[in-house]
Amino acid sequence: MNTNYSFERRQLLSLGTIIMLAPALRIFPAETAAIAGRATWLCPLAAAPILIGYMHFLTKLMACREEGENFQDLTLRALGDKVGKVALALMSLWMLIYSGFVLRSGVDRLIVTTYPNTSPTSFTLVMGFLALVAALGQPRALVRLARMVRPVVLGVLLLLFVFACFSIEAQNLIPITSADIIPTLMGSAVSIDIVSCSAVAMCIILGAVRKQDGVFSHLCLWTAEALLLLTLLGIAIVGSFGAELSAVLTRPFFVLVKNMVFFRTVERVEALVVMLWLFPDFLLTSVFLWAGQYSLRLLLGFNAGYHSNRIFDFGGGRWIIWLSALAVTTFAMKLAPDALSLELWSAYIIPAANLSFAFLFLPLIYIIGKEKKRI
Amino acid sequence: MKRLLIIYIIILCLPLSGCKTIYNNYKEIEQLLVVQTMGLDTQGGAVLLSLASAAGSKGQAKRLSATGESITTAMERIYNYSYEDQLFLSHVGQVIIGEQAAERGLDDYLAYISRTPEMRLDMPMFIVRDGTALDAVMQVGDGTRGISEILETVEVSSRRRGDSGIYTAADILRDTMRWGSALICALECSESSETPDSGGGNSSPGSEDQPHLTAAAQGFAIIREGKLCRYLTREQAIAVGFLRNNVGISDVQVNDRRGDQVVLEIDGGGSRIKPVWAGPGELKALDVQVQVQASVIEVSGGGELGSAEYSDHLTAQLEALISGYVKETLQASKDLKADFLGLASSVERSNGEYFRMMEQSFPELLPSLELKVTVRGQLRHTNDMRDS
Repeated sequence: MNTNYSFERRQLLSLGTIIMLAPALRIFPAETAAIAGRATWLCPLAAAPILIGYMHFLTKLMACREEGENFQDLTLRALGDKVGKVALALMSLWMLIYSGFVLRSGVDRLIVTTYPNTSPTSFTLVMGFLALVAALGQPRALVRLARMVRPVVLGVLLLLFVFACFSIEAQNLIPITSADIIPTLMGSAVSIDIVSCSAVAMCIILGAVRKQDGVFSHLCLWTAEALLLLTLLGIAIVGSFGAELSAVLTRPFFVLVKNMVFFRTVERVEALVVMLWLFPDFLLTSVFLWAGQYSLRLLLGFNAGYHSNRIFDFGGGRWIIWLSALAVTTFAMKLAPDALSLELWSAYIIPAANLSFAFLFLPLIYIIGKEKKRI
Repeated sequence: MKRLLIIYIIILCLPLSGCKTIYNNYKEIEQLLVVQTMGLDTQGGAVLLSLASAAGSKGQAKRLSATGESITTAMERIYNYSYEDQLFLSHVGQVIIGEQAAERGLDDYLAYISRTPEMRLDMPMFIVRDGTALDAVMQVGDGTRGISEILETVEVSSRRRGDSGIYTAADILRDTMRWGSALICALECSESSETPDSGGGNSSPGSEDQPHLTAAAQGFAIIREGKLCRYLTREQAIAVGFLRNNVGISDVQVNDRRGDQVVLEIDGGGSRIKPVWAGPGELKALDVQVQVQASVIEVSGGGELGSAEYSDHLTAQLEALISGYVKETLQASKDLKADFLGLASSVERSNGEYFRMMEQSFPELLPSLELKVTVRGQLRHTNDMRDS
């Protein structure tokens, strides 16, 4: 058990905002535009009721944890030793795969937008190593980093939104008619996936936060902020390119940035913005690597909360961290050798896995735990 | 240990900055040929690529050309057979396409622009009317201004003026996906009205006693199914501004009651397109209501601007003129079965439910649609001179 209260809930929510930006820019504009067309910007709003309901569920679930418990500890307690370990094994697998996927897609973005014709290996190895260093430490470092980069990333995003206003055409966004209701509701699944997955990511390192009241209101405010960001993103991208073109662009946000000219003098700043998005990638990869190794250590009966400042201290099963990082990096290098398979992972496999985890796996744990009166 | 780790991380981070390009391939800006204009033609099935840099403060614009099976191979040939260290394409600002190449289809060119990492999607595109992109790139300009500078001027004035307009690669892709057709600014290359400087200095590309070529926007080219199918004249381009609600400044001439010429400057207006339905999903006609605002800027023979009858006459003349332009443009859309005006969007905005119930696609339906055009004009002011 991790009993070191090393950060506040607000800091954790900052981490949630930053890590949300990685999937938000990867799948939100293009996938939602393909489903909802010009109503893309309304999809986050349509997702709000389900997400608020989900935040209520997460609040209730995490209220069942004991002081210092992470979500993984809670799972083991709720499901019992045998089933709990199976669940932990599945959870570790998902977390490490997701971590590897985020690493791979981040590297792919770097290559496509800034370093064409470059091998992904060096980027993957470096990012993988940095994630290992982060996972060897405590989640506190990740949360503090998120707190530091949040104003920079959001400031840049806001600036880009302001400049994007000059290229927005109203006819790309309206009219919205009754025929758009179904596509909007279907398109909201992308927003639900992004926000719920980020909320779950916060839960898996929640053990370092003291149990307090007001979790639900904080989560609701955070959800509102996340949905507002997605709405602005939808308005900027679909308003500029139109839904038809947005849907076929691989990274519409970075194409938008590439097109921007500031005060008729500064242009081609996309490399700077792409580099800034290394932070969300790094944080998301590291959080899931940390959570994956934590689950594995718990599963194998080690003291998962054991922490040491010595890098080569393998006590408490810390060798699993190295092994997990190796698995994540290898998976990232082997996953999706071409753009088509990466698209398959990005648009179908990962969102389906995330939604299943958030909306099937977690409620199941809660229901079983309550039924068995273990939580 | 921590220090060692930090140093190790810093060393590991170096490849993230693209070490290959920083350490092995470093170039001073003088070593780069910053390409600003790209010309694309077709020559016996091959691509004829022409490139031009901006004219510097001292030197002339550099112009290069080569053919290849694809744009990439032509680019390689240009690079291999030039004196340049590196062709830098990240600042290509305009793409010109020759008429013949446009007639064969733009899809390959648009695919190149949207796939190559260097180029941007918001680049303005032009089609050279009755000419080739090679001629435009190689011959337009004098010693101090090349095609790149001239096109920049065209771009700025076209965005302001009502008788032309600028469409970017992104616009063309989007309009083609949405409506099946698109517009591109048509470019005309002709002799410059400036007298060549015979007093020395740089003079290129022709010899000093030859007049230089310049380029000017001349209406629009209509792209249907990815191919150039017709041009719109300057007058029809003015109508496009009204029908797409993007009216710029343009001058038109009318005659007053005595037959004297009056020049009006159109500076505002727009249109409202109302569909007329015979039943759900049965589009029968389009009622096009145009508004135009103008001011008098030139009057032959003094005129009678203080007289209401005179003003009414001019307004009626203006309305008739714009009505004619609008009808011609709508007729072109009907004849070609090409919705380059985005009429479908107006119909959908008006009644989305009926629009979705239409059995035929909108472009297919266009020829059978009745058109009713109403123009309402307004002479706003006559600038500095008192009207009475």
